[in-house]
Amino acid sequence: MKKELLYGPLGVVILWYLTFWSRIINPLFLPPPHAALVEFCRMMVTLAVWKDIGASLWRILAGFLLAAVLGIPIGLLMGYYHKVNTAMELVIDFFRSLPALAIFPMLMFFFGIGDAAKIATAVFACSLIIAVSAIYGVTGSRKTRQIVAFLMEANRREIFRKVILMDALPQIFVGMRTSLSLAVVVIVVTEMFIGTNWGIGHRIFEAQLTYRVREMYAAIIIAGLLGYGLNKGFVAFERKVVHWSGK
Amino acid sequence: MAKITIQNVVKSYPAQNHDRELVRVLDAFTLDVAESEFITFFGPNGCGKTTLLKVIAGVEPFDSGTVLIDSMTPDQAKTGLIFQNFSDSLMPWLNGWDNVLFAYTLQKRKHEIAQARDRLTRLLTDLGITLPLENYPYQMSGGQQQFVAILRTLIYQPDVILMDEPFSALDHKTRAFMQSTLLDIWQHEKPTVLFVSHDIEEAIFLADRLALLAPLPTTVAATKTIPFPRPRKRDVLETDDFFHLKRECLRAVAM
Repeated sequence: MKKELLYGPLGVVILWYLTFWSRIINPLFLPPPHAALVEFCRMMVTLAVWKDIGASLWRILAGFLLAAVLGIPIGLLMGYYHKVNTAMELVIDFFRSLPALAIFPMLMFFFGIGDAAKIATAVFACSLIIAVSAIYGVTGSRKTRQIVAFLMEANRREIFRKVILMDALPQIFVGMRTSLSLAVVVIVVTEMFIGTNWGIGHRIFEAQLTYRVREMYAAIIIAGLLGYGLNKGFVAFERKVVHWSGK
Repeated sequence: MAKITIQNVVKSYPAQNHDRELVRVLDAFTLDVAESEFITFFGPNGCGKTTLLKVIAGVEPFDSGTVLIDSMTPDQAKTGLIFQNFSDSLMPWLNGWDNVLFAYTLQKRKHEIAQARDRLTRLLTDLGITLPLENYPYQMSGGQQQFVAILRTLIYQPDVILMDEPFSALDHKTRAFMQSTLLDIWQHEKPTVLFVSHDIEEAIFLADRLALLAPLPTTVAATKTIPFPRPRKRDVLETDDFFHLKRECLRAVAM
C-alpha cells in the first residue's frame, strides 16, 4: 500500500481537530475525532446497530436490484429501437431532472410509510440512470462488430445478444455503479422520515433530535463506510464481469 | 466464368452539408476476379476503396450495375471483411479462441465447431504460427489482434475475403511479418482475396494482379499483372524489376 494513500484521511482528521480546538463550531455539536471514534467502536458491538445496517442494506440492495431489472431492459429497448427512444425521450429526461426525493411523499401515499415507499423512491431514481446508460451503451456499440457478425450470417437476435448487448455492458455497469451510490443516498435520507424503526438514516436523525451528538457522528461514519463498502464491492464485481472495459 | 464479376457499378452518397447534391463515389466500376486470385487495390486516400469493399460484401447498397460472386448477389454470397481497425472489429469480451471461432458459436454453424477447431489447430501447426489464443485481445499486440481477425474470417470459409488496409495501423516490422504470413496463409488455403492498400510496395508484393484506382469517382485506371513468381520472399522488394514496376504504377496513378 502506498503511504500517500493515508495522507488524505490524516488531513481530514487534522482539520477536524483544528476546527474542534478553534471553537468555530460549538463543541456541544462537534466532538473531537477520538470521542467520535470511541463512540463508533462502542456502537459497533451493539446488536441494534447491526439491525440498522441490515435494514438499510436490504432497502438499498432491493431498490438497486429492482432498478436494474427494470432499467436495463427499458434502456436496451430504447437504444435498439429508435422510435421507442424518440417516444420516451421527453419522459425520461423530465423524470431524470426531477430530484427523486421530491416524489417520496407521493410514494408514501401509494405504498404507506413502510419499506415499500423507500425502496420505490430508490427504484425510481436508479432505474432512470441505468436506463440512460443502457441507451448509450447500445447506441455506442461498434458498427464494425455488428457487420462482422452479420457477414457470418448471425441472425438479428444473435447480433443483439452476442454483440450489441456485450458491447453495451461496460456502459451499463457504469450506470449501475453510479446508481448504487445514489441508492445509498436515497435510502439513508428516506429513513429520516416518519415510520422508520430501523436504519442508519433513522439512527442519525434520532441521535440529532435527542442531542446524542457523539452517536450521531458515529452513525454518520457508519453510513459513509456502508456507501464506501458497497461501491468498492461493486467495482470489484464490475472488474470481473466487464474485464475488457477501458482497455 | 469469373469468380467475381463487378460490372458498371455506380454508387453515390449525399454530399455532406448538402441535402440534394450527390457525390459519385463509384463510377461504372468494372472488374473480373478469378477463383483464388489475390487482387490488390491501390489508389489515393478517400477514393472510395472502403465503399467498394462494402458494396462487394453486401453491407452497402449501390445505385446500379452488377456484382456477382459465384453467380450470387453480395447478400446471398458468403463474404468476409477485415478492417483496418482491429480493436473495433474483434470482440474484446472473448478470448482469442472464441474470437476466431465466433462464426461457429452462431446457430447456423454451431454443430461444426469441433471440426472448425481442428482445422484451426492444423492450420496453425502447418504454418508454424504461435498465437496466444487463450489471451483476450487487449492482452495481445496489434499484429496478433489482426491475426486473430484474419483467422476468424478464414475459418468460416467465405467465398471471398475483403481486406481494408488491414496492416496500416501496424509498425513497419510487424507489417512486413504480417504480409509474409498472409501470403503463406493464402498459399495454403487459396482463398480469393481483394485487398485494399495505400502502400504501393505492399500492393505489388502481395498481388497476383494490382488494380490502380483513379480518384473520385473511382474507376479502375489500369490493372497490372504482377510477374514475380510464388511463393514470394521479401527479397523481391529489392530487385530492379520490382523498383521499375513500382515506378510504373505510381506514374499511372499520377496521371
